[in-house]
Amino acid sequence: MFKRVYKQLLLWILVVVPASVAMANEKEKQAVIDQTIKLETLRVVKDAAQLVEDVGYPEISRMKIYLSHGAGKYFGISKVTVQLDGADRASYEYNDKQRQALLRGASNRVYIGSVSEGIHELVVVFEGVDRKRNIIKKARTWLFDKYPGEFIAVLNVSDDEGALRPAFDFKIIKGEK
Amino acid sequence: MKHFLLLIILLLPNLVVATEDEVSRLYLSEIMYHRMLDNNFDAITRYLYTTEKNELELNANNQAYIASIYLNYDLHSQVKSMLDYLIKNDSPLIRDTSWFYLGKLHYKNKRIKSAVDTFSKIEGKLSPEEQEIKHIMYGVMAINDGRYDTAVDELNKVGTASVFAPFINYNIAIARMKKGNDTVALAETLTKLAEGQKKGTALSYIFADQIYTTLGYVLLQNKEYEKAKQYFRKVTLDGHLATRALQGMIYTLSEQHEYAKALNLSLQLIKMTIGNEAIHHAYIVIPYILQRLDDTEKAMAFYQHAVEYFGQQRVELKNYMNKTRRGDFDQYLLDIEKIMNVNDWVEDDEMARLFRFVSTLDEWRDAVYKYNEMKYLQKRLDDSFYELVIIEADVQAENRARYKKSLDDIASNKKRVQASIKWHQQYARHFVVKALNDQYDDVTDYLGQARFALAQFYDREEQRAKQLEIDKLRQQEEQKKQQAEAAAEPVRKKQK
Repeated sequence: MFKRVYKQLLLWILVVVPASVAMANEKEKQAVIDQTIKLETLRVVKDAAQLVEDVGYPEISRMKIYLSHGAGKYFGISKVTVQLDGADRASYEYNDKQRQALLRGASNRVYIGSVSEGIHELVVVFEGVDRKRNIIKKARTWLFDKYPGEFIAVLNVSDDEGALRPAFDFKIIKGEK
Repeated sequence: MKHFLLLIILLLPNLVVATEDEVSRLYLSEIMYHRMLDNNFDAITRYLYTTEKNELELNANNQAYIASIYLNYDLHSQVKSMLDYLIKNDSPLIRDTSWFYLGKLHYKNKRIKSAVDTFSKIEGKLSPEEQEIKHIMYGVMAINDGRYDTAVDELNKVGTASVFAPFINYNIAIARMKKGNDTVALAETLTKLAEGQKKGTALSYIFADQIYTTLGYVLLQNKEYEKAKQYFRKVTLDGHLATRALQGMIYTLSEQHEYAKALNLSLQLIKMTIGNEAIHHAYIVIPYILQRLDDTEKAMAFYQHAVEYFGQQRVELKNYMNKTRRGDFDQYLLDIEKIMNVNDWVEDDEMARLFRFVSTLDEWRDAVYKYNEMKYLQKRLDDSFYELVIIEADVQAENRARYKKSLDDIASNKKRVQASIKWHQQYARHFVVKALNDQYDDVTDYLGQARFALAQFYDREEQRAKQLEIDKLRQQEEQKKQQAEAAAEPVRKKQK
């Protein structure tokens, strides 16, 4: 009977222990491989996104609109809808976490598309809550003249302390005539 | 008309034309958006995209911010070189921020001594948020080293308004308890903390359960049994700490000699999970106590029951091991959603019992996390592939080579990702089998103990039976003697 126990013990030492050690070593090796895979995937996905953007929205007509939320005393955004020359182009909903990110200085791209050179009308509907937690909708209209080349603009929600109400701005960062 | 519109544009008060470097600031704020939503993958791809197009000009402080994103995404090799470069910067603020992130990197890699050495190189003041994190890391490191006073001092340096306040209060209380300070007062503090947490999210419930379970075990150690039971009862019954709490309850009841109740709970626990130490312990302790209380019959029956139970457990554990090896449980065991929403996992089937067994094992959670991380990469590669397929018809001659290269890169990287997924799948299986095997060994030990106790019982019973036989024979002898004497008495009287 003891012989059997010893045999099993020996087998355990010879097989199980080295297997566990080997697994631990392999785990370390795999961690290094995973780092390379992650870096490569980031690069590959970035390259593909770049190509899709270059082909889908050529630089000459490309237009990007971002949203930033400077302060949120009088308005907290929950949805933004973008219309360009009378047609719905994009809509984006924000949850608490996303709104907090905006309030902490981050910006979100709400629209990317191709727009011809010339004058265009942009209508943006901002939905959200006011100070009393009432749901409100505010629509704003802007006209802009697009130059050939990439056009980048930012919609900014801020507080108008003088009028005690929210302010909605449209700021062109790149590409206006 | 066109001129009129232009005039309107120029007169519009809210329309502002910006300068070039605002583009860079905008792109950085977009990277921040992804980072703040814990979407490190998109934050890094946006960073790579904009740097390649020379649209992002980063000062050293923002470079340190980018390094922190890489750090959060566990790309340590990249971060190290970024920070090594930044710590040579002329600005003390940049140097300090870089030392801070480098220290954090060591801390994350569990190189505690290097982390402390690196933090000590910070000359000036960090930002309030970084300062907070530094104190928390120092505090947790001190608890692990058994330097409880230092831990409390460090954690107390973080303001009460901090978002980490519940975590800090918890660790302060734990450090003081471990030092042997007044547990009752601390228990009250922690209870208030836990109750406060319960008003929050699902994660807060898990945190509250953790506080109750820890408190229960600390009070059990201090032999404050009634209070320990109170805390074990507060733990959510369908939570992932339910089995630990029940286990604590069984230990407490056993200490209080309330064996019937302990046994009832053990039977409840058997239905919830496999390979539980508390149940095994109960099956050995309860008959032992019964034996000492001279309830021999019950004790023997219990040992008999224990032998059967441990035997069944061995069969069941073998069955679980075989099924895990075959991958029968992969569908559930590798689902990160199940771990995240552990409180929703209330089924009582074979899978749920195995899940409750493995869900508290850190190594397994780590394996599942890595597996799902690779699955996410696979999904991102698939998404990119489909996006490329959609634009194929629009790709002009000048972009053809780029298009082909992109598709080739996706295909070759997908192969490597798939190999990694397979590896992590195997590792997760291997780890579960290993944990089950350890349990199998423990159960075998317990089975041996139960069999030995039972054998001793039989020996003792046999000896007792023999003794009874001897006593009986002696009694019979005695009786015969008495009868013979009684029969001889009239004869003797006659002779006289």
